[in-house]
Amino acid sequence: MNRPTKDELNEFVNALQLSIDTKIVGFKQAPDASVIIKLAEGASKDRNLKKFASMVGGFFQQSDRVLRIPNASTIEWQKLTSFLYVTRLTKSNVKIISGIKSRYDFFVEKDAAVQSSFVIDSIRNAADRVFAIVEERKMTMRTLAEKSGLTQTSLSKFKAGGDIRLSSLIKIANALGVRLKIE
Amino acid sequence: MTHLPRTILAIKKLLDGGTELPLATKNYPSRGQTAVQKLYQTKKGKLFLKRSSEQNHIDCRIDPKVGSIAEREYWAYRLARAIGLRVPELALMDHHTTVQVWLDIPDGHLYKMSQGIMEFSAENIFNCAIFDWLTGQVDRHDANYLYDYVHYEVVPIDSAHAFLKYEGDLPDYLHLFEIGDAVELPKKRNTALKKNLSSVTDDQMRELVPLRDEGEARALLARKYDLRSVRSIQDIITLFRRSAR
Repeated sequence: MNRPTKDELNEFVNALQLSIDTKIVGFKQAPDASVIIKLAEGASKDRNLKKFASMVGGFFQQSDRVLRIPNASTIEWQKLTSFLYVTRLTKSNVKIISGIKSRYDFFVEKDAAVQSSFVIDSIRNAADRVFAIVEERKMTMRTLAEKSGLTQTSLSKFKAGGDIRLSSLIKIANALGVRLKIE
Repeated sequence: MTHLPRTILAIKKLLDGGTELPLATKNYPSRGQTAVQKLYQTKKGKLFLKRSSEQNHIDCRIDPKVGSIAEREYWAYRLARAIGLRVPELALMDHHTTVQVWLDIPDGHLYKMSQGIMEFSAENIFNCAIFDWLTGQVDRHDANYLYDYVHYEVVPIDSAHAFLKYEGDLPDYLHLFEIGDAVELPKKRNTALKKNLSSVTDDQMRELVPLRDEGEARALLARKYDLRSVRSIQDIITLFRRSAR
C-alpha cells in the first residue's frame, strides 16, 4: 500500500466530514507519512470522531485540536472512504454492514460498538441464531428456501433442531448474506 | 432523529447558529440541478440548503413562474408526507431555496458501487413507484434516491423535476427491481399509502400541489386517476412503458 494521493485524501476528508459533527478546518500529509486533520471547536465531544480515531489507530491532540493518523501508507484509503460514505459511522449502519458480506471487515472489527458475531456450539444454537436473523429481516421461510436453494421442509427440520449439513448451512448463510467463520 | 423547526425564522436561526461544512459537499455528487448546495452542522443535526438559479430552470426547462424547482420539491415533499411516504423533512425557505434534514444513509449509486447488490422491500418499491408516477418524476436516477440498507428501503430525494405536463421516466430502482425480483412483480398489493392516496380528493390534491399552470394541474389529476387501476408493481411499470411510446 502507498500513501494516499491528493485526490484520495480529498475524497476521504469529504467522507469523514459527512460522518462527524465537528468542522474540519484543514488537512495535510506530514513528511513522516501520517495524515493530520485540523478540527474546529467541539472535537473533544464528538463521539463519531472518537470512534473513527480508534478505528484507524489515530489519536486526537486536544491542545491543538488535531487528529493524527499515523502510518498512512498502511491504510486502504479508498476502502476507508467508501466505508465512511456508506455507514456515516452510525451504529445501525455499521451493525448491518458487520453482518453481511462486505469489504469493510477491517474497519468493522475495529468498531467496538458492533458485536454482532456469535459462537455456535450446538445445532439448536445454530438454528436459533439463524432464524433470529430471518425474523429480524422479516424474511419468510419460502423466501429463504428460494434464496438458499433448500426445501422448506429441510429448513423447518433445521428450525426444529434437526441436524444440518455444513454445505446446507453455508447455503443458508449465503442466502442471508452473513459469514461463517471457523476459528 | 433530526427534525426541522416549524417556522422559517427558526430554521434560519438554526442555520445561523450552525457551522457550514464546505468540505463535506466538495466532492459529493450533485444533488439535482442546484446552483448552491450547503451542508450545515446545527445543534439539531446536519441540514442541507439548496438554492436554484435562473440557469438551473433553463437547464430543466422549468418555468419558475408556474412553479420553481424549489417549490416543486416542496410540493413533492408535502404530497409524500400526506400519503405516508418516507422522505427527508424539507422546508421551503423562499421561491428558490429549500432546507432539508440530511439523512445518514448512502444514495443508490454509492451503495451499488461501494458495497454491492441492493435488496428491496417490495412494498416500499410499490409505494415509491406510485409516488414517482403520481408526481411525473423524470429524474429518478440512482443518485436521486437514498438506500436505507438497514430497512431495505428506497428514500426518494431531489424530487423537484416533477409535476410537468408530460409523464415521468421509469425510475432506476424500479428497473433494478424488475430485473431482480420477477416473483414479486405481479403480486397484488394494497398498501396504506395507496389507500391514503385514494382518499385524497381532487381539491385536496390541488391544495397540496398548487400548480399555477392549468395543464400541469390537469396532468397531475390524470396521473392520479391512472393509479386507481394499479394493483401491482408490474402495473406501474406498464404505465411508465405505455407513456414512453
